[in-house]
Amino acid sequence: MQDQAKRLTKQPKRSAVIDRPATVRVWATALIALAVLALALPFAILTFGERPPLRGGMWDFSMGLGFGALALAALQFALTGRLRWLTHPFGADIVYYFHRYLSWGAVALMLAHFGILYIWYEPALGELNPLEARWELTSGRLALLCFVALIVSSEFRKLLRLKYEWWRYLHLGLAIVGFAAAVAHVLGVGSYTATWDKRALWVGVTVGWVGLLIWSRLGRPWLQSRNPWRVVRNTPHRGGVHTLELEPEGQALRFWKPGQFAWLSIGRSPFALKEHPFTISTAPERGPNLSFSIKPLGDDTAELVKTSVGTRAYVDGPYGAFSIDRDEGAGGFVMIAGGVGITPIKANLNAMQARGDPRPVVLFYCNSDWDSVAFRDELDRMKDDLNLTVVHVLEDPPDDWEGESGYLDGEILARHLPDESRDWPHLLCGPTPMTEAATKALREQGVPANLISNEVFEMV
Amino acid sequence: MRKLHARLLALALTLLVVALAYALAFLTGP
Repeated sequence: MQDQAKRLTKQPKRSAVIDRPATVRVWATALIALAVLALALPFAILTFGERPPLRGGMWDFSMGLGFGALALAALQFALTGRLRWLTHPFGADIVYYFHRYLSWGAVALMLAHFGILYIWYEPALGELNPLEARWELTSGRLALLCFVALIVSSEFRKLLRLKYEWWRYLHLGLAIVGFAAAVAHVLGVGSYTATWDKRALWVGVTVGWVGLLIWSRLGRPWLQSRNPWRVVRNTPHRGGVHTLELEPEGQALRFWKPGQFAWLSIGRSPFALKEHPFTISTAPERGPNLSFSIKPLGDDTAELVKTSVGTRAYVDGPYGAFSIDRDEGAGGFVMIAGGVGITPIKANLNAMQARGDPRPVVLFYCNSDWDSVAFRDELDRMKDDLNLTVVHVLEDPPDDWEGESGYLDGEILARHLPDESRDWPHLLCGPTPMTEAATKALREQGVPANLISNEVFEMV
Repeated sequence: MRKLHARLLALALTLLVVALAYALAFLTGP
């Protein structure tokens, strides 16, 4: 026990400084500037270095698009490498969302690179048959196929009935083969990489990319494997939700904020690519044990909720920016949750309870029916310690229901929100149609867009 | 809002690359 007490995590001053809006803003701007520089670098070297003889505007335009697309593709490895210094100002959830849209851009440019050559310089593409074609051109086509397959398999994963874990293997495999083929294509074609500075650029990019891969797929899992956790409790709740409590066998998690999440790997090796992101529901003041509330929504989560006590687990975190700690000066909070989207909201409420935070909170909690309302008793009990109003909104209410019913809309919000709440931060987490409708209604009622935070939890 | 910002930033960076490629091909000489 004494050992545990020593490991007990306290809120350090450091974490407050890095969460201040001004710090976050400067940090985010610096990272965006870094991304712009990373994208401009290949062009700077192409422009100021020794150039190959020009072949005509559209040819050079196509080459530029190809190089730029590859620079965008290289950036994706940084975005998905779970680098805390990179995700901190934005929140890891939105960085994945950004990765998704930037990938569309990269693939569009690759298609444009190929399309321009196909339309204006078709003879230069040579044979399509890989047995007869130049290897470096086949390599380019293979890269293009891999990147298109990456987008299709991610956008239509559910339609293709691809299991999440298989999708992750496929995603990583296609990304590695695609990027390697693209670099081989650039070096093989060679006309823009003949000089040392250009070769150094692409070799440098490749080394950085391989380094990131080694770190995120081998280095970090290795560190995790040396710091295991153990499941000490599995508590079922309404709506099929289970809360797993984990105890550290080694070092406890440090510096997490309420509402943040961690990647959890239970009963499997941390190298297995089978971890899932879950909100840490324990208040930072109540460590070192961590609780995670999980709803069996499919694939692996149905197995996870059956986890028995004593099972080994690995935790990678914390990540995310969906936290009351990002709004220190707020006079109160409006929170809107749909279904299992309650978990990061409840984590924030747990922290307010642990801290004796007196600020008012109005929570709208949307569910299909009364029996599926997870944590409804716990939320009820929280009202004793918090200045908390819970407004349940049920799609399919029981006959004697006197509360709100149907879908959350502007009228329901207006009935329960005090005027001063327009100046409070609004934290939203739930299915996309619900959060989008709520955001629209809040905007119509005069809530500034910068006061509405939306945790993105459905990616592929 | 965060989603919109993410989409706009992705679009802006993609267009930046198009602009740089255009400048490379049509505006700068050897």
